[in-house]
Amino acid sequence: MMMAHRAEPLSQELEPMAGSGSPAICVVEDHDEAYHAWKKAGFENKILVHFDAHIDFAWIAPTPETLLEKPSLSEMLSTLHRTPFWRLSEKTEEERTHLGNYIHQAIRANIIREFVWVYPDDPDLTKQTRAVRSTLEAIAAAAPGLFRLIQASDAGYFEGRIYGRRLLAIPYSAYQAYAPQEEVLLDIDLDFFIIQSLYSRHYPYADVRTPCFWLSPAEFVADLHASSLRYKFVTLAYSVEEGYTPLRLKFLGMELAKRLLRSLSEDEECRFEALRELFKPSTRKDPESAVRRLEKLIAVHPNDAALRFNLAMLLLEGNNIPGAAAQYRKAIEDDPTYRTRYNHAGPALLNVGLRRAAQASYERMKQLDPHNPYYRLFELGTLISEKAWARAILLGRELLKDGVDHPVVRGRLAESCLHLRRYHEAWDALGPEPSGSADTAWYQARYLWLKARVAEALNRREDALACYHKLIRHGEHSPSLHRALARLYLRKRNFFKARRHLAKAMRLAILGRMLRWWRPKATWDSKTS
Amino acid sequence: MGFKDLLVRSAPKASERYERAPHVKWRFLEGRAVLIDANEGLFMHLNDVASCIWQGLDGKKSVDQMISDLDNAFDATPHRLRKDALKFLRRLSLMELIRKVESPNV
Repeated sequence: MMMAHRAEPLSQELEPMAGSGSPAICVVEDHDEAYHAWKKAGFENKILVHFDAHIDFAWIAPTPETLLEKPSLSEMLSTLHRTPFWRLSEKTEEERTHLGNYIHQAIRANIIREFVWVYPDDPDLTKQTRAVRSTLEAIAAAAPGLFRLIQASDAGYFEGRIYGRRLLAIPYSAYQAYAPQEEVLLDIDLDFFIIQSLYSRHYPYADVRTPCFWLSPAEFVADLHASSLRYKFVTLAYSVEEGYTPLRLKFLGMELAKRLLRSLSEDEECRFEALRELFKPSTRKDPESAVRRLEKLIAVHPNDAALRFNLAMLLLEGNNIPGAAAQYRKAIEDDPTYRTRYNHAGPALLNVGLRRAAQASYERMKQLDPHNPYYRLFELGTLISEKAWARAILLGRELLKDGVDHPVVRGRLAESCLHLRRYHEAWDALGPEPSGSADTAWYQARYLWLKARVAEALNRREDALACYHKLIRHGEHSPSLHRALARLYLRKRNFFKARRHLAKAMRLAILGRMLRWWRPKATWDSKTS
Repeated sequence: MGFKDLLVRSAPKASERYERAPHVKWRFLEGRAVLIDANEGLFMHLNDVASCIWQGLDGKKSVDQMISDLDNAFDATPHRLRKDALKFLRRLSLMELIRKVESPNV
C-alpha cells in the first residue's frame, strides 16, 4: 500500500542482547525511515557506510525561507543560480524527505559527516564503473554547488564532496580496505544482494524483473566481520513499498538482521537456505521439488509467513489456485504485511511501462485475493484509459466505499466526472488535498491539475489560480499550465500577467519542440517496450 | 467596464494605501529588499528607491506620504520621483505583489 508521509518511522528495532556487544538493528520498510531512526537515536557527525544498489542522495531544492536566510545577496544568488527556481515548495525540506534523498537530508541535518556508498561488484568492472560515474556526474550537473566529483579511478573508486562533506563511492570488493578509526553507522538496502549490474537495462527495477543473488547475507556478514569496520547501529531497509524489492524476498531482511546479532541455528540456516534456493535457476526448472521442500518445512514451522507466502507464489505459478489461495490466506493471517499493494510485481511493471505484464500479474493475484481492493485500482486505470467514464465512476465510488481512500481513486473519479461534465460531483470527489510526501508527489500534482480544471469549469477563479500557483511550486513547468494561467488572468482582466504567461507558454512550447527535435534517437529495447 | 478603465485600473492614486501581498516572502539584505513570489516562482532584488517604497508598503501610509518620504531621502527631482514611484507601484499591483487597503487601519 502506498503510504502517506509519516513523522515517526514504522520500524522494527531489534535491541542488542545485554552484555553481548551486538549492534542495535533497525529494520525499516521504506529506506527514508532510516533517517528518522538516526535522528531519533540522536546521532551527530557520524560516518555512514551505505550498502545499496540505488542512488539515495538526490538533491532537495530549497524553500523560499531557506533562500532568504542566506547571509549575503551573493550567496542567495549563487544558491538560486543552481536551483530550478520553480520548485519552491511550501513544504519544509524535512517534509520532502523520501527514499531517494534521505541521505542528503541526513547530511544537511549534520547526522552524517562522511558518506561512503558501497555499490555491488560486477564481473564487468568497466561497465559498472561507467554506470556509477554517469550517475555521480548527473548529480554534479544538477547541483554543481552542492555536489562535486573530485577524483575518479578506473578501479571504480570515486571521491567527491557533498555539501562540503566527503563522499566516497567504492565497489563492494574494495570496502574492506576502508578503515576509519571510529564507529560508523551501517545502512543496508536489501536490493544490494539482488542487483548486481547497475548498467542492466532493467535497472533500477532489476530486483523485480531479474533478481540475481550475487551475494548471500551469510557471505556479507562474514566479510563484514573480517573488515575493520566497527558499528553499533545498523539500519536495514526492504524498500518493498515502492515496488523495488519483491515481497517474496522479505526473508532476506530477517536473515541478515539475525546474522548480524548472532549465529543462526541449524534449523534457521535450513529455512533461509530453502527460501534462497527458490530463486536459483535450477529451482525454476524443477518447481515441484521446491514445493515439496517448502511443504516439509511448513509442517515443522506452521506459522512462518515467509515460507507460506513463497509457497503460495510457487503454487500460483504452477496454476494450483486452491492450494495457493489457502497458503496465501494463512500467510497474511500470520503476517498481515504480506497483504499489500506491492505483494506482486504489477505496480513496478506498470511503472516501467509494461502494462500487459502488469495486467497479467494483477489478474494472477486476483485469483488469490479477489477482495483485495488495491488490485481493483489497476482496473480503474484500465477503464480510464478506455475512456469508459461512467463505469469508472461506479468503480471509483465502490472503491471509496470499500475504504480505499487513495489519491489515485479520488483523482480518477474526479477525472471521469469532469469528462462527463458533472463538475459539482468532480469537486466533491476531489475532497481535501492529499497530505504531502515525496512518494505521493505525482498524485498531488495530478490532484492540483484536476482541481484547477474543475474550479475553472465551476467559475471558481481564485481556487483555480491557487491550484495553478501550487503547481508552479510543485515544479510543473509546461506550456499548458502557463496557457491556463494566461486564460484565467485574461478573465480577471489582468492583461499584464496574462501576456507574461502567454509569452512563457509560447516560449516553452517552442523550446519543447526544439528539444524533441534535437534529442538523440533512443536505442529502443524491444523487450522492455 | 470600458477599455480605458481596464488600462488605468491598476494605476495607484495619491490617496490610496497599499500593503504587501501575504504570499510574497521578503527580507532586507545589504540595504536592499529581496522578494520571492512563490506563486509565480519569481525572485527579485530591488534597487535603493524601490526598496524604500517596498518598506513603506505597510498599509498605513498613503501613496502621497510615501512619495514625500522618498523626496526627503533621495536627491532627485520631485517630479521624477513621483513618476518612478507610481510606475513601480503600478507594476507591483499588476504583478499582484501588493494589494490595495480598503479601510486604512491607522
